[in-house]
Amino acid sequence: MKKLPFKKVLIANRGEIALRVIRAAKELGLATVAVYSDADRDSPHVLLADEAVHIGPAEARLSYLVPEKIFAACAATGADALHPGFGFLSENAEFARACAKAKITFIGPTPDAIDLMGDKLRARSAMKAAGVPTVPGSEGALKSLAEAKQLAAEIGFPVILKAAAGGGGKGMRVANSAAELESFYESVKREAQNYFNDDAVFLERYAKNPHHIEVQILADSHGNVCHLFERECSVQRRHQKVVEEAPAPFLHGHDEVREALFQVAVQGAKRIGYVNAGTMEFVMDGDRNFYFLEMNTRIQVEHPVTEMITGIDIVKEQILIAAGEKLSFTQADLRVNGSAIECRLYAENPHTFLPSPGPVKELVFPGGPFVRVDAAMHSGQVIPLEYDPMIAKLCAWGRNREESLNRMARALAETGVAGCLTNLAFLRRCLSNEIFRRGDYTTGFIKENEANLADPKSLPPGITSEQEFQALLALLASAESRTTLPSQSANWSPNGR
Amino acid sequence: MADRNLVLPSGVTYEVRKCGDGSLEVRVQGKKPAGSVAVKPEISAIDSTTKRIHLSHGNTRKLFWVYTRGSKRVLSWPGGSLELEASDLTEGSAVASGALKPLKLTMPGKVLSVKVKEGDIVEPGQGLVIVEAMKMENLLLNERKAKVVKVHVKEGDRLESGSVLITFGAAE
Repeated sequence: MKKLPFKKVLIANRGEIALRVIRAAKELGLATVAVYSDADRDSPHVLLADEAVHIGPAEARLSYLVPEKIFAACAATGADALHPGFGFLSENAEFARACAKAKITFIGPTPDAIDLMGDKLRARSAMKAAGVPTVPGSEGALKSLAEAKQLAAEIGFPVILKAAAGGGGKGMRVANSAAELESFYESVKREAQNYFNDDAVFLERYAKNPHHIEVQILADSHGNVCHLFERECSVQRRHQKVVEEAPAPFLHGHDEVREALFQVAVQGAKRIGYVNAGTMEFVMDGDRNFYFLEMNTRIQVEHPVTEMITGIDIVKEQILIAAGEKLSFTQADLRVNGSAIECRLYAENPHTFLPSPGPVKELVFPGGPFVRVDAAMHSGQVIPLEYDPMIAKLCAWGRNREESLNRMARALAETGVAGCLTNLAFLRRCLSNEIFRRGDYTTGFIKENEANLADPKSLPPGITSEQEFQALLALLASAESRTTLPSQSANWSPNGR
Repeated sequence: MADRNLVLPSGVTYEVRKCGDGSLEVRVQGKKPAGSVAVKPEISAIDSTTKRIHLSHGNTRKLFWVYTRGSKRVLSWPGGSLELEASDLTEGSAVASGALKPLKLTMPGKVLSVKVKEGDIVEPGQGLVIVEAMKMENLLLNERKAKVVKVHVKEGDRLESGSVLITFGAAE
């Protein structure tokens, strides 16, 4: 095992990503420290880490988002390295700077790179300068609604309003007309202020239903930059990804486009001197023209699909890069092996896509060959209201896309969650949807196929599935025998409140 | 003559009749019987709110869970889930339909703004209330043309899942 300049990694995050980092660290022989809020006392990451430090109440702004509490946990445990995961403090340059000051190795890019890419407006200019194609839009933050309207009229509707400091699908709205622009302007500004503490917003031409294609980058501190090919994440609702694939089915048979995409992504990363793992996100139109959307300066939720087709443990590489190591491979060593898919299992209403957090009374995960489960929960936990209601990421690999999809569909049918509603039925319908199967789906896929994917009212009258029918019988049977069961007082309440 | 009716989110109503031999006859309302099935459930309680059900019928044996919270039933199985109101499972055969359903919250949230007032005639697709839930602003849209009879909430209210926001009446 390599001797690294740090010994103990604190993971400033929760859920499945905290667990993911703990796993990589353990494989490298490093000690691990978890932090947790009141809501995560029994979460898997707490129980699996060598040490765990309580950092406050469930509200993230009073726990996971407080640098002082994270640093206190480092001091208390002697952690000399820190992995931020995604979300929370992962793209906070000040925090990364404070880590350096405290002599704690931040496992991620430099604070300057975080700053540059975190400001979407500066990021655009930097990428433009690096020869990366960008979407037409405002050059700076919008000063007024009037300016927004004028600009929108010039570049044409629809336009998308975005928080300059935003991300993760929050603080953005698509406006199809001047009237919509007017009604969304204030609300986006307000969301931007509330969630990112910065009400600067800008607008861009909105490519209606583009493909969302992104390139995974790994760069070491010796100037080596490699791409780990692309992912397609076009299955989205509320601008949030639900299903991701690698390689992109939309680029099947278009190797010249893929090569151009990789070249531009590597060029962009080199230009800004990027170090560690990052993702260049692009929108791609129907003619396969692509434009830079943003760069995520952190590990990405959907990184497992890339790991499955390349055999590279991206989180482990992140740690080694932060330790000053050179990449253990060159671009020429990397090959796309087969096809992988990830489905995000959420506690949500499968028809409305609204979060439906609640208790997880029993959890059954899939097994079998080439199936990977990165779970955030185990049986008996309550999904906290305060965080993203993701239960697990389910992944499958196959020698080709057909095999990976069939394997995923099989795995989904094995997965069971008792207690809360999940999007399992939606995911399964998605996997069997003809358009999805053909691999020619855009970010408009869910909306355009809502009738087929989600809306229960569109299901044909009659018994719509054998499983639903049986489930009903089960319910009836349980209702029949109600008197013989323990009392059914509703004694559960979210987070014990 | 059904012993019970069960209305699904899809709008389909099942009629269920108990037969003398303990089996259940299930049919879609107004249609031929979907089948008369001998159901043999084995039920065990996980806790006071949740039951695990192994169901044998025909040559199949499957696992289901039923979770109870107040009037809600979350029914799940490997591969899916379904939410029902206890009132969806009614005694007898009369099912009210066509009534204007109140606007309810399907998750806990905070009211950011109310876009309508009592007496307003609202059109399908019109925005009614903006609610912040799970860190997102959600504009709740009206479904059917109706008159706003009562607005039960105001800006700043923090609400539990299931709270009634607006009740409607016929739009004349």
